[in-house]
Amino acid sequence: MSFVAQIFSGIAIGCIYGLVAIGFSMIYRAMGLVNFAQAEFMMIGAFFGYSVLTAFPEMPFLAVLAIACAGTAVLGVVLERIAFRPAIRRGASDIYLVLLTLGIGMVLSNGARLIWGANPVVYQIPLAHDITRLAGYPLPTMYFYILAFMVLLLVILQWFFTKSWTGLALRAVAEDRKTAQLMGVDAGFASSFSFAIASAIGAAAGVLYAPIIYVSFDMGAVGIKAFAAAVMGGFGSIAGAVVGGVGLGVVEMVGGQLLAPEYQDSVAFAVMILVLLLRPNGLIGKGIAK
Amino acid sequence: MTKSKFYRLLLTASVASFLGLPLGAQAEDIKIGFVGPLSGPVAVYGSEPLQASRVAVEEINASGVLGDDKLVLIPADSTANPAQAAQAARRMALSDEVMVIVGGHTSAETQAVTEATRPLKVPVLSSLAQDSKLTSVGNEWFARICLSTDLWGNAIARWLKEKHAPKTVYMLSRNDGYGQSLGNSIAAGLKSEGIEILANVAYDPQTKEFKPMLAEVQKANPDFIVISGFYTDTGLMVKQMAELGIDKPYFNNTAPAIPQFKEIAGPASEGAYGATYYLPGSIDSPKAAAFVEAWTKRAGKAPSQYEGMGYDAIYVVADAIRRAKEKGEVTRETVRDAIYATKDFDGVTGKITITENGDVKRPLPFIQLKDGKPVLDTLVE
Repeated sequence: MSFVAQIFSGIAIGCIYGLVAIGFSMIYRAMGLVNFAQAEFMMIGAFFGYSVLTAFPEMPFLAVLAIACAGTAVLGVVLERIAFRPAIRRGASDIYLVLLTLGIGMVLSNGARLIWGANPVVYQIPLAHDITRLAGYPLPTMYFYILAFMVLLLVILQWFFTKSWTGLALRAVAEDRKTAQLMGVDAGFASSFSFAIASAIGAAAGVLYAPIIYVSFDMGAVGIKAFAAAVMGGFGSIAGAVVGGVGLGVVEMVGGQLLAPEYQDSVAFAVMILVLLLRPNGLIGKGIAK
Repeated sequence: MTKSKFYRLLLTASVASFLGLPLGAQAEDIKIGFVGPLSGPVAVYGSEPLQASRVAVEEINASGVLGDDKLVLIPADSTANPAQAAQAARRMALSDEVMVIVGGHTSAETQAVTEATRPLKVPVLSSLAQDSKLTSVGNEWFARICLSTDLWGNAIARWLKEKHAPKTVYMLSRNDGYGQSLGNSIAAGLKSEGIEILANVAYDPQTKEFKPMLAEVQKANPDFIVISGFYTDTGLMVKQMAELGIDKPYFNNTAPAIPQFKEIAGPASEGAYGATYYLPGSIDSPKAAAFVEAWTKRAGKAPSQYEGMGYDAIYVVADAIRRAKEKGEVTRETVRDAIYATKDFDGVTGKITITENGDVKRPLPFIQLKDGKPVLDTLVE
């Protein structure tokens, strides 16, 4: 029972890492940028969902999810327009842009504290306490929604980046901005679009995760694990983000239990280091090629 | 007197009279520093006591109990960061010239505050910092009105033995200074009461998935579970205990007194046992009842444990200043002596007596969540 508990719990928590990691990889793939504010978009999305639920307690959960994603996408576009695009236009280097994302993350986190307060808030919906039994083991039903959403997202994004014209254009901009522009790709639109989608994915992670835990301005701390998951899976690979996330979750739970629960973070990161030593480009894909 | 000096004096006098300031040394402002987290994840430990401290200062100044002297509160935000707390305390001691510092509120920041102010000889009184180390080091400038983790842990063990008499207990303690010192104190208490501890597991505070750990608890099948952590992580833990079908009585320290605990844990929080610094309505005295009534009228809700403690801290300090004044002189030293001489002070959170090493003798309310509300289980005197 205990081993089953470790595996299932690992997969469940790994799905959250995976969802946030997808956002990291998505932005990297589309813009060649590591967006450290990704987990803060998750936090903001979760708070948006909370506000919607507070105003309309009867609203179906999927509608709450959609509204929160849309709201966060708008926020993502606004931040892209007022911070990233001017910085890129002035020829900011990659390291500057990464710092910019770190700064935006902090502003978002402190801004959320100002608006929603320092105390955690909770989604008061029946779904928060729903349980589904898998092989006799009880799991929050929410985890199955997360799993389903992640698979769907994986398929859509894979298709988007490899088959759709917009997706290919985004990759072209990430590869070589100037050349892509010469070929008629609107680079400004590309970066706005990427931010909108990545913010919405972050928000979805937040709204799906919120009923299982609680929402607080510092919940973006999960970002460091999600980033590790994205790197472990192969940075920039969407499928890699999911594999990395679930892998990290399982390693953390099983390793923590084998050693002692207080060391589960150390175990997770030790395994990440080992993976990168053996496969420097991550588990899946070519990894960071730039 | 030269002309310019005369004009300067005239100007000072007229500005002073315009502002209503006293010209002589008859009335004094007695400054009290307040150090606590006013922002950050544990802002509630600082912001609520501060709010109540302000009310207390207002009342004391209006009452005239200190004659013409007025208390002036100088607050600083520590964000629960020890370095920031020490810096604020040093500034208060050196340039603000405070008489006494109330705070810090978390144990780590209080440790830093005492280290910074002890050489400067400033009395420090904390209303919430529980770490036993703070009073065991023999710092004659520090006192508190909350129980140390040692005293608290012993009281919990005694209560457990008397009310539930479990044969076996499983302990889960947050892996930080607070969780570990509390967990160790409770473990020591349980041992001396002859109760078997099946395990004392330290858990990672960042974790959101406790099920593998809880599966072990289920396997061990204890009579009682004792959790030492913050209401956020223990709220999730209790929720997941219910998901796994672990139906054992549990003690969750101060968490059941915090409304968010119930929200996070959901229905699983029903029946939770805890202890709290203070529970409104648990203290049977006219002063305590009047406080609850006045606060409810003012704030629209009953006072929280942090508000009650913050309120009493200022009153204990003011009472010490009053006694020092009656004895002749109000200095940091005489105020410190008066704080240490506090005996059976009639606080709104119960009778407070400061003991020799700066610890306190005071009532400790044990509570249980019933129908979603914390109700008094036992008041340990």
